[in-house]
Amino acid sequence: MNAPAPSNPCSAVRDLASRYLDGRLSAPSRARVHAHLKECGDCLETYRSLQRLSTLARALPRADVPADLARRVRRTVSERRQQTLAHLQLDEAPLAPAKDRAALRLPWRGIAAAAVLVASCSAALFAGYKLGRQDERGETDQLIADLREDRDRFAELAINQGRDGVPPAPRAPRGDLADAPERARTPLVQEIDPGILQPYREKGFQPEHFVRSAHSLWSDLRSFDQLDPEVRRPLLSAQLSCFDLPSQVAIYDQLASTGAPQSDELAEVIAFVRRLSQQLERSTDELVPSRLLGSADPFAALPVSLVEAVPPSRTRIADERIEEILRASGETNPSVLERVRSAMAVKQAFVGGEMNSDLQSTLIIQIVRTEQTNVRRVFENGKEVRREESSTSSTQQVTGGTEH
Amino acid sequence: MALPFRRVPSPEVAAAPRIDFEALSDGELMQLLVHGDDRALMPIIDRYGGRVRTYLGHVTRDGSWADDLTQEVFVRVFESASTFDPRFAFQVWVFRIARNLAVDLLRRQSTQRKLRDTLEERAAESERQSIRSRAASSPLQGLVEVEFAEHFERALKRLPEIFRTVFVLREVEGLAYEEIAEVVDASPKTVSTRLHRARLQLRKLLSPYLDPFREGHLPSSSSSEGEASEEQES
Repeated sequence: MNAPAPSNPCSAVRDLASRYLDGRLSAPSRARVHAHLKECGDCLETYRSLQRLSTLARALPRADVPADLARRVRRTVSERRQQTLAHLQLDEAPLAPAKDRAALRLPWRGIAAAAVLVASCSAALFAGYKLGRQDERGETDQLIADLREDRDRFAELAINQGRDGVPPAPRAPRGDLADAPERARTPLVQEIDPGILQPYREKGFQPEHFVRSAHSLWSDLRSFDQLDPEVRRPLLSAQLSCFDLPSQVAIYDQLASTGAPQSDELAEVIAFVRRLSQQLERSTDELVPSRLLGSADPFAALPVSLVEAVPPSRTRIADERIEEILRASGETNPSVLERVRSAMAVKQAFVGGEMNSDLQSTLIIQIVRTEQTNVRRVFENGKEVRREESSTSSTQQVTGGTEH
Repeated sequence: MALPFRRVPSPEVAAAPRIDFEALSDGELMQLLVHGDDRALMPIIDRYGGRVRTYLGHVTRDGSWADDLTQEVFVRVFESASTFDPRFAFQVWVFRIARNLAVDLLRRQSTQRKLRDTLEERAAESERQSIRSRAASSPLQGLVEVEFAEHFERALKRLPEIFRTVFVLREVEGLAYEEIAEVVDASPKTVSTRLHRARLQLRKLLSPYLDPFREGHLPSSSSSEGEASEEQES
C-alpha cells in the first residue's frame, strides 16, 4: 500500500528517512523516496546526516565485560541465598504453643497450592542440591532452604504471570506465622485432615511454612479456570507430582465439596489420579509420592518429569516397586515402564552424586536438542492417547532457546 | 515419546565428551543454568556482559551505576533462569531486564532532585572518563570518532530515556525493530516513530559531526535491507 500523496513531498520524505535508512519501507515507498532524494538537495542533506549519525554511532567504543563479573554475580547470588535462609530460619523459630495450635490448622486448599509450589521448584531444588554439595554444607538443610526460597519465587511468578483478569489475592504479611491462617480464612476454606499432613512432616517438610505462599496462591487455584493455560498446566503437573495419590484424592474430594470451579483439564487429572489410586489401594501401606511416578503424570513432559523425579532426599524406592505400582495401576505400556526405570536410574545417579557434572549437562543438552515438541499424554477410557503439541506449551524447561 | 537414550550410562562408563560451552546456543546455556550447571554463566556473560554494560552506560549516563546494574542484570539472569521464555531471543530478555533496572534507577533518582544534580555531575565525568579510556583502546581511534563519542554522550543525555534506549538498542546494539519493541513493551511502529525522533534530535545536537559533505550514499531504490512492512506512521 502506498502512503497517501503528501501535500509537501519534502516533509513526507523526511518523515520516512529513518525507515528508508533501515530498509523498512515497501518497494513503492522506497522508490518514491529514492527518486525524491535524487532531486532534492535539502532532503538529501537530511538523509546523509542521519546516515552519518548511524555510522558514527555504530563505531562508538564498546564497553568491555566488567572485570570479574562472573565471580561477583556468583557471590551475590550465594549471599542472597544465605540471607533468605537466615530469614526463613528466623521465621521458623516461633512455633505456636499448644493452645494456639488450632490457629495453625491450615486452609487445605492453601496446602494444595503450596504443594504446587514445592513440586514446581524441583528443578531449582536440584540446582540447590548441587550448590549444597559443592559448598559442602548440610545437604538436607540446603535442599529444604532452596526449596522454600524457590517456592516463594514461584509464587511471585505465578501471581504475576497468571493473573490476567483475576483480581489480586490478598497477600499475607511475611511476619507472624500464627496470625497468617486466621487472615487466610474465608468461608470456603476447610481445614485439612492432619493425617494428610503427617507423612510430610515425617519426610522433613514443615507444612505450616507453606501457609504464607499458599495464602497468595490458593485464590489462584480457586480461579483456576481463569488462569493462563501456560501457567495452568505446569501447576497441575506440579501438583500431581507433589502429594501422594491418596492425599490427592482426599484433596480433590474436598475441592469438589466446596463447589469450587472445575475444568475439563482438572477433571481429567482427578479421574486419572482416582483411577491410579484405586489400583493402589490394596497395596499402599507406605507413602508413595507420585513425584516418583513422574512419567505417569498425564501432563508432564518428559524432561520435567525427569527432573521432578529427583526426590528431596536419598530415599530409594526399588525399581521393582515402581514397576509393580505402575502395573497395578494398569500402566502396562513397556515404553512407560522403560521411561520410569530410566528416570529412576538418572535420579539415583543425580542424587547419589555418581554422575559427574559434564555427564549431567551433556544429558540435559541432549534432552533440549531432542525435545522439539512436547507430547501431552492424554488418557481416554483408560487408554493412553499421545498427541504432539507445539513446543511453546507446558514449561520452559522443555524447549531450547532461540539461536542468534 | 521416548527418552533420548535407552539406557542411562553407568557411572563407570560416564566418559562424557568435554562440553564446549562456547558452541552452545543461548537457550542451551540457559537450560544448563536452570539445571544447576553454573559453568554456563561464564559464556553468557562473555557474550552479553559488554553489550549490557555499553547499553547501561549510555542510558544511565553513569559509569559506576552502569557497572552495578550490569552485575544486577546477570544476578537476575542467574536467579531467574527458570523463568526465561525460550520463545524470545535471549538478547531481548536480557536487555529487557537491563532496561527495567535502568528505568527503576532513573525513577528513583528523579525523586531526589537535589542529589541528582550532584550525582549527574559525578556521573557525567565518570562516563566521560570511561568513554575516553574506551576510545583510546578502540580500533577506531580517529579524532572524529573520539570527539564524537564525547559529544554523543552529552547529546544523548538530553534525550528522554525511551529515546536513548531505542536509539542505543538500534544503532549500537543492532537490535531489530521487533526486538526493541519486545524490550520496551511497545509496537514496532511506536519504536519506529521514537527512533526517528531520537535521530532527528541527535542530528540537531550533533550537527557539526554530521556534515553532509562527508561520505554518504543512497541505498539502491530496489534494495531491501530489512523487511519492508511499514508505510506511514500514525
